[in-house]
Amino acid sequence: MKLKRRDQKEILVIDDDQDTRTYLKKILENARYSYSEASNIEKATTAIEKKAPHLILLDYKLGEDNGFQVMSQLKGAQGYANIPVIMVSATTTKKLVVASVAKGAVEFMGKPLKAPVLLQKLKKILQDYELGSVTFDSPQTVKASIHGDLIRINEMGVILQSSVKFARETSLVINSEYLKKMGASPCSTETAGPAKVANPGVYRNEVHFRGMDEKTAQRIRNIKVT
Amino acid sequence: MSEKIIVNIDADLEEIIPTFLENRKKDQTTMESALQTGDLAAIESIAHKLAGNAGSYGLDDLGEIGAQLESVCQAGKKEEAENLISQYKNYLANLEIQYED
Repeated sequence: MKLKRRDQKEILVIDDDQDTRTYLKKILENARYSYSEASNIEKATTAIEKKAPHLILLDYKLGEDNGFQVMSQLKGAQGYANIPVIMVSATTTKKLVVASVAKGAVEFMGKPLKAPVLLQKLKKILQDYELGSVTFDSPQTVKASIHGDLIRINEMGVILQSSVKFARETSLVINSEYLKKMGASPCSTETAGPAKVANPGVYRNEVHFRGMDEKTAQRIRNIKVT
Repeated sequence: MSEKIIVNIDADLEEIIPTFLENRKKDQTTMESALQTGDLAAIESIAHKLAGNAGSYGLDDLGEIGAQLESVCQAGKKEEAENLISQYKNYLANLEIQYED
């Protein structure tokens, strides 16, 4: 069954080598990822602003420029700082590997990239970056974070206050010891609509509870966040 | 006459291999011209990309030639670069690809 496009994870490849881009397009699309590409920093900026990818494969050597410049732009930009970046290069010195991680890359991969290893890493990183489990410590202190983004509960339900743009179909799995104590099984929520900008750089999504009985949902809505 | 270099490559790549090889032949012409003018920087740039992409296409030995070529160009060793470009040319001339599922 072919996945619908909205179910596909978007991978942006930033590489100045056409043959590498062609290869990655082939293997990523075969693996049901949505593929986009850029051959230089300017095109990369345009591509990211047009549609924020779920993950970026970034070549270190980009003609006269380098991948660190892209990293700096991403990390300094609200809304894009949490996009996972895999730095890739045919140059595999320890210095470059260490510097890449220090600049915020989640992984460094030496070229040549091989499909089985790359696809395995992509899968794992994307899973790690899914909106994952949220732990509610207690009724009084409902604080949790997903990759550094604060989550709050108020009378409207769950508010994600985040620097990450959330798509409409984003699901958030609540797997909470506290919810279990209230008799609710782990359940999920879904966003009520596209992310809205609450103030510069902060996105708020109101989400609905799904799979939860109304009584429990009401109790959660009534939790006061300090 | 040189022996054929037989390489087995994933059938998934069959569609994109011909263009990859055409580009390598263009690179060969560019590198030969650059060698004549002593432009090792131009060869190094091509060799760096080759080191990074040939292995992805299943042509690991060609990628190794690229890595060595990049290294000797960085060191300014023109004769060694010439020798490696000759190996590159020989590899492409004798390459025979067999696609496997």
